[in-house]
Amino acid sequence: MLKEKMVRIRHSILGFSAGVIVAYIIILCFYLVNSEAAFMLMVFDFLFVSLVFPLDGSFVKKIALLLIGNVIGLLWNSVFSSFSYVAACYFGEFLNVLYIILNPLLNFVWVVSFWSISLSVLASSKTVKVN
Amino acid sequence: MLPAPNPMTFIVLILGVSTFILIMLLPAFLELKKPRDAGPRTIMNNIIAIPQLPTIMEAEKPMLDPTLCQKIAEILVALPNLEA
Amino acid sequence: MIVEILEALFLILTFLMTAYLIRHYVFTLAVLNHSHKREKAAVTTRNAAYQPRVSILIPAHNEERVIGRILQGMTKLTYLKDNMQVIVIDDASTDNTGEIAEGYAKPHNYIEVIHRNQSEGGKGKASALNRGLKQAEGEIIFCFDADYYPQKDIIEKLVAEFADPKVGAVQGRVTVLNEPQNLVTRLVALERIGGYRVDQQARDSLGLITQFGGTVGGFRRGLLESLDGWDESILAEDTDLTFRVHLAGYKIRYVNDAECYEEAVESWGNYWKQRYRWAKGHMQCAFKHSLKVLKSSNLRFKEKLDGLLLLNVYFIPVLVLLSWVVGVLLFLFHPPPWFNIFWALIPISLYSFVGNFAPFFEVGVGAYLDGRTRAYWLIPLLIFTFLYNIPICTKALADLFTSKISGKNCNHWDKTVHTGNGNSYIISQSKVS
Repeated sequence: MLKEKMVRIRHSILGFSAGVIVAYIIILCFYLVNSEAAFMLMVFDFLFVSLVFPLDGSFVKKIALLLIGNVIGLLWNSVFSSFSYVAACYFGEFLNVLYIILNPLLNFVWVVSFWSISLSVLASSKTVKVN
Repeated sequence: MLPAPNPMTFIVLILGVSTFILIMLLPAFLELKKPRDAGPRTIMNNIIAIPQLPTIMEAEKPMLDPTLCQKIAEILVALPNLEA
Repeated sequence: MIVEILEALFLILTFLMTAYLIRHYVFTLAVLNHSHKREKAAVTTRNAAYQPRVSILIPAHNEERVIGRILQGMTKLTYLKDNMQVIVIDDASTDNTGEIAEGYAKPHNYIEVIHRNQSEGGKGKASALNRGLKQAEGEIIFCFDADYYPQKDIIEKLVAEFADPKVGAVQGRVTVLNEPQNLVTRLVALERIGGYRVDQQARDSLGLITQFGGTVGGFRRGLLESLDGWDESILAEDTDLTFRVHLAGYKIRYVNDAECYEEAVESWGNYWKQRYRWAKGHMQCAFKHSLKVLKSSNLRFKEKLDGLLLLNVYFIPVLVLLSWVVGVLLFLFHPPPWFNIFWALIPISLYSFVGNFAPFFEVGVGAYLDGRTRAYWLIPLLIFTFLYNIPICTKALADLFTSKISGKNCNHWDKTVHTGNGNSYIISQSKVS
């Protein structure tokens, strides 16, 4: 019990450190992502580090999932921003309005989906370990 | 003013956005189509299987009559003595 | 001027949403911490010496498809039958509910059936429960909805908490029985995981306002009688009783391992009816109890804060919609410099207030602690239940205001229809444990 607790604490501390590094990199790349996307990436990192790292599972897997999640977030941001820019050139102000209305729905879809898959990956490896 | 981009770029980006959203929602559709963890979750210390609910007539008789069980138990206990 | 008003409104709304997000984040952390600790006083649940007389009330209106199942479950309970009284309140049923219940009452002397005719019955669950309370003889009064199927030792687990004299009520956990049925049942099952495994557990661990959910719960009989039973003018009689118990200075304990199966709604239509009733009832409680909670000398600051947030939780979908609209208007007219950051709170809220308004991370962690492997894959679809809740809660609020203005009492109890499909999911065991 104590050993497991120490492992969780270690994972949490290391995960927090990893999250800080990733957040710092995001800030450095601030000119590459818009402020909304940067905020969303920070939220994802914060939730991931604080709520997934304390769970049972391999630390390497957690780090890998954290990094993959950030890559997906950046990729989504690039694709969606490019799409919005190009669409605005063709459709003008109308699409701008549509974009701002749908943005809340679309901008977070990757966070929830990836979060869910990460939990599934950790849970599956826990099941395999028990078996 | 920036020049309008190539129409092909626009189509590629639409496909990119749509594909991304589909990929993100794909696990959900997969789990719905071929459920591997559909539940229900087993809760502890439960329950004997009941394949069908009793009809009104059957409900008048309990599924496991405690008196009958006791009689069977008494018979089982007595059997070794008979053998002896 | 209009822009300033919109900015202020937007800030207030995002502040409120942030408060709920922080609350649920703290809940999730609390449960993660709690799950790693030894189960507190699990020994007390096995204290066989403490077995007071209990009365189990089962209100039933047209439940012929499911009443047999719960009564079957009652006969399987391991609680001492001499100390148990099961009262089925056949509330003006027009089907065979009464006959089926009588079928179980005949061979089991601890099962009683009260038949209410059309003139006295059909006035809602609270009325039925109050009728049952009059006939109850037990020291502890439990309530189970007709579509439930209890764990065999659930009564022992719930009763054990009453050893503490400060405990006025207990609440067990609800697990969806017909989860594999369709998309609706699977999403409702996820909502339940978030609501019970994490939300309720956290509130119990943190000493906040644990809620009585209307079923799988019990009260001290003396306390219930002193509070005049259930309030028949409120649609959410369970939430109302929750706050009256807390305001009276008693605690409600949540017992996570005291589990009971329920049959969840199977169609979006029934989902609407059920949630509309919950939303309207909850809003009625918000108007009734918010000021009392603030002024109460029996509640600590953290309980008052949690109580207010809990009371007003069904306003959240309306607030999220309003903030969405205000945000769009602000963007079109004159977005302030800080707009982008606060606008980002909207998507978090959209994906956070799902089902029983447990955020996606609560649902995920709850499923993980339950040992689920792929149920998480459906979590992104919970956005649809939240979006569905927006018109439900908005209509409930509008109808409430309309009834207040017109003076008409429109507490129509739109009962949830149970199909009995959950019966086929009852799990078998090779041995009786």
